[in-house]
Amino acid sequence: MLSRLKILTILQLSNLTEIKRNKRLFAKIALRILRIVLVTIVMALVVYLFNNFLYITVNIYFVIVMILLSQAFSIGGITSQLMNSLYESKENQILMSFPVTDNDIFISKLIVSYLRELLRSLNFIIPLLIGVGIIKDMGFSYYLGVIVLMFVLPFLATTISSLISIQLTFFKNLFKRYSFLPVILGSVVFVALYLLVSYGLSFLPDQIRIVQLYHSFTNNLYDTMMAISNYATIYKVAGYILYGQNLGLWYPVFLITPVVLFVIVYLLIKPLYFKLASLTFEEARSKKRKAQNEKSNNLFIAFFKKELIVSFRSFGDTLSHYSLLLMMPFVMLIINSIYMRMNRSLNGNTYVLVFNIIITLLIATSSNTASATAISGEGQEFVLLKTAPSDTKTIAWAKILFNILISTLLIFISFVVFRLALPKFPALDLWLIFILVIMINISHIFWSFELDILNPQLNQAMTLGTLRNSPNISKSIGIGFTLSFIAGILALGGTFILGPYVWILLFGLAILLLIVRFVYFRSYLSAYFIDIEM
Amino acid sequence: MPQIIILGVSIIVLGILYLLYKKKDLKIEVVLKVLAVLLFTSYVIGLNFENALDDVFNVLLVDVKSTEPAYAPDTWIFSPGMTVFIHILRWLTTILIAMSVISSFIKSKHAKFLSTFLGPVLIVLNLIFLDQHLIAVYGEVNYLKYRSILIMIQIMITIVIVTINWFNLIKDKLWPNKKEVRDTILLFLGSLIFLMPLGFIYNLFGKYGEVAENFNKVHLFLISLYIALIFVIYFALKKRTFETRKMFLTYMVIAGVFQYFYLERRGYGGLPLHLCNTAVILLFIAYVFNSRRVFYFTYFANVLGAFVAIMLPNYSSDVFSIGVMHFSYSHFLVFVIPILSVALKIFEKPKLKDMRKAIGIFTLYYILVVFLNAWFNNYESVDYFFTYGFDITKRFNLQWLQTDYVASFTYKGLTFKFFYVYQILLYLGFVFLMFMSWYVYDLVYQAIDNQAALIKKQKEKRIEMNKLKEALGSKNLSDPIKPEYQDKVVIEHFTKRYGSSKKKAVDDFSLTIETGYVYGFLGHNGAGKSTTIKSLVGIQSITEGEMYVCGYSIKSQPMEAKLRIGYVSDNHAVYERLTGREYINYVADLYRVDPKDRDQRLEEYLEKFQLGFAIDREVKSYSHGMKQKLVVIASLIHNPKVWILDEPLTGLDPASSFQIKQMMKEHADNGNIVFFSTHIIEVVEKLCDRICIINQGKLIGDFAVKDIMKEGADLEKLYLTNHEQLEAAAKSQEKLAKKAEIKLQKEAKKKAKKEKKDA
Amino acid sequence: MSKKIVVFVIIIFSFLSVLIIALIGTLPDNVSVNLEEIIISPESYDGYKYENNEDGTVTSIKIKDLKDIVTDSNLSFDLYYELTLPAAFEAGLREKYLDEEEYLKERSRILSILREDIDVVSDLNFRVDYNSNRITLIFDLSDLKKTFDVKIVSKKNQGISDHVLLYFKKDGESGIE
Repeated sequence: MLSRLKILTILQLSNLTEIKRNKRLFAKIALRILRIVLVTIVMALVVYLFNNFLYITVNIYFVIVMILLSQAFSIGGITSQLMNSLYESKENQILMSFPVTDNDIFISKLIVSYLRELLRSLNFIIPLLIGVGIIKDMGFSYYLGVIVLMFVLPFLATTISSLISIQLTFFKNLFKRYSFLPVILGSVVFVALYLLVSYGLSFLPDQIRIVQLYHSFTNNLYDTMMAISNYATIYKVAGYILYGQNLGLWYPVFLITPVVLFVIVYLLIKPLYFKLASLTFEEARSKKRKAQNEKSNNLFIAFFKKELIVSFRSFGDTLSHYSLLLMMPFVMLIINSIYMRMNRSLNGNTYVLVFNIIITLLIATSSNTASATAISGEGQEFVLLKTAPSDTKTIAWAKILFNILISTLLIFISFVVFRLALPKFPALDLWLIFILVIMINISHIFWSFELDILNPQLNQAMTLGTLRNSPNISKSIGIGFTLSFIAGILALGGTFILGPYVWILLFGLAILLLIVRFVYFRSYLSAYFIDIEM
Repeated sequence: MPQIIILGVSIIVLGILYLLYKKKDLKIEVVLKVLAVLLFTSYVIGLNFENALDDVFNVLLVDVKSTEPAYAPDTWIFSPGMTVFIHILRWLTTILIAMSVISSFIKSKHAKFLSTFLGPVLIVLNLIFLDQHLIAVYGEVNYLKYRSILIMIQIMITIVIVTINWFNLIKDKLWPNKKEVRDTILLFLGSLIFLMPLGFIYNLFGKYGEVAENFNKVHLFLISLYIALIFVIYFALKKRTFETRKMFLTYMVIAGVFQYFYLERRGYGGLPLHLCNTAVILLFIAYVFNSRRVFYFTYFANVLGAFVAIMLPNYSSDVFSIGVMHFSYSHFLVFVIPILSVALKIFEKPKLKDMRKAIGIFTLYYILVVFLNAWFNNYESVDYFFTYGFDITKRFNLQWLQTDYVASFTYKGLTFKFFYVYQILLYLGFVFLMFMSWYVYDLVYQAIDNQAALIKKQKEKRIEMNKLKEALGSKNLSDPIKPEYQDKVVIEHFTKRYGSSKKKAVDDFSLTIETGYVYGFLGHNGAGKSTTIKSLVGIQSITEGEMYVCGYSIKSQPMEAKLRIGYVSDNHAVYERLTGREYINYVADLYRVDPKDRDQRLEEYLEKFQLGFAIDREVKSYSHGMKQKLVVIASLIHNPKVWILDEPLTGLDPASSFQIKQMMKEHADNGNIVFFSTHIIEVVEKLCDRICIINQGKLIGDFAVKDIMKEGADLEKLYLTNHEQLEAAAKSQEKLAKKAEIKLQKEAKKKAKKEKKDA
Repeated sequence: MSKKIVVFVIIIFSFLSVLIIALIGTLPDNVSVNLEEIIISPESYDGYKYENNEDGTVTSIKIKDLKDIVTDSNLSFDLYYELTLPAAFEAGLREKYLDEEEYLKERSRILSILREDIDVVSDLNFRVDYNSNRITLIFDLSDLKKTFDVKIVSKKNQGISDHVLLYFKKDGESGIE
């Protein structure tokens, strides 16, 4: 079994890394060590800053909370990675055809995950712990503890993640079968989170004074860290080990716990793994839909209908494009709740306006990646548009309208929700910001689409099946950044010079931008769409 | 008297130069350059002094909105007419000096003509009105004063330069034609604005009565004027030659130097260490020595600084005053010249590494001015680049940022103060703005390039449309351009190259496909089958040649041609999230199929392909064969005259394969054209009526399958033999081509060596 | 540029915006004013001590008896003070900000800057709560029978000040006269 495990692990690792190239291996290792040393120095400086300038006490509670946080992030990352690797990865088709058992495959994947996590821990938590040790002048037992943690923490994270991954995979398969479930669940979670945030913000003092708030913040932080540490279970034990408390008891507990967890995982997974993993490769029988031939009145409607159907049936992909917009109501609520609780001067009100414009525009424009990959996203299906005897560039208008409607709707909902949550914010300002954001966002949608027309990435979509590396996405985001900051600067300067008439300037320029981008888009579409080749 | 001396010395110098030219073969270009340097130097060292003319006020007695008395004749040193005349004389003389200097270094006809033809007139006027010239400077006539002597030297040098120019003109017979005269006059008129005497408006019209600041009307007018000028200069020069563009921008650079140094500047505050003042000198260096590094520093740092200064000027004088004119000229030129230099391609578009170098130079400059500010403020109040004074922090109510964070030390009785937090923040802020400006420039250039490409493309499309209309003559656009090809697919000399590659994917391919046949297109992998088919159905462009589908050109009448084509691609293109029915309806909408027809045909094909059970499920759940059948149905939903299939049987089970083959036969038997590519010879043998073989992009042969069978030939052997023969032929051809290329390269090298020796 | 970077930028920028508004957005619109008076609040003194000056004038000094306030079990005393702005400035502020709420907000902003101008001169240990205009004076056990002078003075203008004498009334005595 060990030899099979070794081969499987090396096979999977060589797929991920370049360990075969021995020539540059030593150089790479040396560089990595250098990087770790540098990160450790930075971490030591950060700890020093926390302790001596920011009044955040660095003690056992701090260390426990840091370990807990890093583990939480690790577990999140590993769970997602394991869900793919254990149950959905295409390489499983190949691995399962080898003369190895399912257990071998399963354990080898956990080993691979563990090794990756071990290396990743050298980027943050281990340097941080070493930094704490340096600043707090800790002894030998502390550093011994760090070494032990270096090997045990990734193991804990991997085993916990593998347990969670079973549940999540089960739910994922359930959601595949009943597609309305993620929508309902998502909406419930969204609303609950929003209410929770609103509730949390109600605890902010009516008059925020930064210095006093900071002092009470650091006091509360200490209490919170202490409270969390008491419930940190195995990570509390890790803290005891580092600080040399009752080592005779806690070392064995700390070392045995992951073993026990692993045994549980192994026993639980053994009967389930193959079933869960192979489920992905079985053809899903999707349900039957309407059995009626429907002719669209015109080409635009045909394209729009197609967009609608495809988007709603691949809800996850659609959502990932607009995921940032879901952040908008939260960000607006949090920052404005804080702003409203400060005694702002007239200048302060101007800054509030400016920052709201910039931040809402940043979020809105960064969500236009669907437009920046609209043509490229067609991939192989673009053949239909090339061979059809119709004015197929109409599809661009259908896609644009679809994107405009979705993003405008989401932005509108954000503003409505925000208005209801924080009625203190001046209503007129809020809706003026809304109109401005919508106009600039629509201009940005045209601009992003134009990028894709001028530089379509059809080949990337066809060969890789994904457009994550499309240069048009980063260009679109970059343009969005620029527009956001320019709008903010104009709002700031305009308010100081023009006073309340600044909105005339802003709207005027926004309308001009919209017209210019519309005209350019139309021109580029007419000139270049027909010449896009595959 | 002095006029005689000037003329006398000029004649002597000209005489000496002529003798040297005749006997010692003196190079005239070198002489001109030396004289130009002398002229430039003598002019510049005569600047930076007060002029009596500058104090003259409101000679035209214009009733302006001023708090001052309506006129002040006490300030006049000439009569109003003479004042205007002297101003214009000085104005044009300065332009003459600038053009004479430029024409000696840049091969610009226009500068030469200006210097040559304007020169004599202005020289004569300067000689006649020499006394008035000196009065304008000193308020009195004194030939022995420093600037008087300089003026006389300038006149002498100008006489020599102009005479040499005339000599060259006559010798080489380079008389200007009408167009050149017109262009020279236009350039001259355009050049006037940049060397307008700073006191001109003040002397003639007095004060305006307003300070141009805080975006009031006057301020906005100035800003609009600057922006308008940028566009005017750009469009005026865009289509000129490189020499003319360079000449004009060099002129603007020289104008910047002349205008900047016009005002007397003394003391530490007069040193050109303020960013925009430094820029005037740096631009001059960049242009004279063609220094990219210096130029890009001005491009990134100075343009930004000038822009901020134009938007937030820090003066409090009347808009017509000399100080404000001086401020406006310096900052306008520093703002505009770098932008136009790149826009008019005098310097290339900057790359990121240029900006990094610019930041490096800016850092050095910044450290220098911070230190000099700390030092010189012991003697007088200076504020280079706003790193010491409170101008910026006052504007934003942030004085505490400076006053609360001060580091100072004393050395030899001098106190050195550093507002470290403010200075660091200012530095970081400026560098950040430089990065932002680089990004904005990049966007703007991209937009300009895209716009140029768009205009070119639109022009090409118009030309294509006109060609089509010509070819059609009196027919409609929807009529076939080649009606004689009505029942055929005709490919004429089709050649395809990808991008800028020289290699031809398909080379001079011609084929005619008749109705009623199942036509097989045979070739190995990479032979050019898919390329030909993709060009035929309109997925890819045609590099050379033509393709007609039922008489319609796929190039110029794509819609009509595509309406008659049904296409099955080699990689089934289906939207996985649509159901089969939704997909068919989508395609039917694209092909404008009637609802009745689509219902009937769909049912028919669903029965034939036995796909009815899955038609209302998402395509995602289909097997490969089912997807292929779906695509086949979609391609036939509009009952196309021409059915083109690209490797349609790949990966299909025998039953599905049989069904598609049956369809193909049926479709051909119904009087249509079926053209499909494959590399499976057995299919071709059983299914096709005719085949054509392609290899390495070339048509090998076009055969009737029956004829081959009659002769008892084996199709497989035929294909393989042809394939092998042609591979061998292709390889030897490649070898020959390589040999020929090497030979050509050797010959080219020999030629280059010989030319070098000769030179 | 990716979405992860955008999220990071949004978070950092939001944080910076809060800081900027807190530091700069809460500054008063008008900062060019100084304190008019520093007055020890009425609850922090309970009488006056009168002193005759050489020029014949009489100076009154505030006094506070701490006998029942500062004891062995409670060794601290909170001294409150008030700050006033020049009357002309107040009037101008009233004119500029007609809305009562806005007037109070701007006044509060101005005072939040001027608050830091306070200096305390005393032999006792003390802590100043600038927001509540309160000075907490901390006594030792040995201080319980002594008299202390606590002076609150403006850093910018030493002439603006107020002080109070804190003493412990002995039994049978009527207090400082």
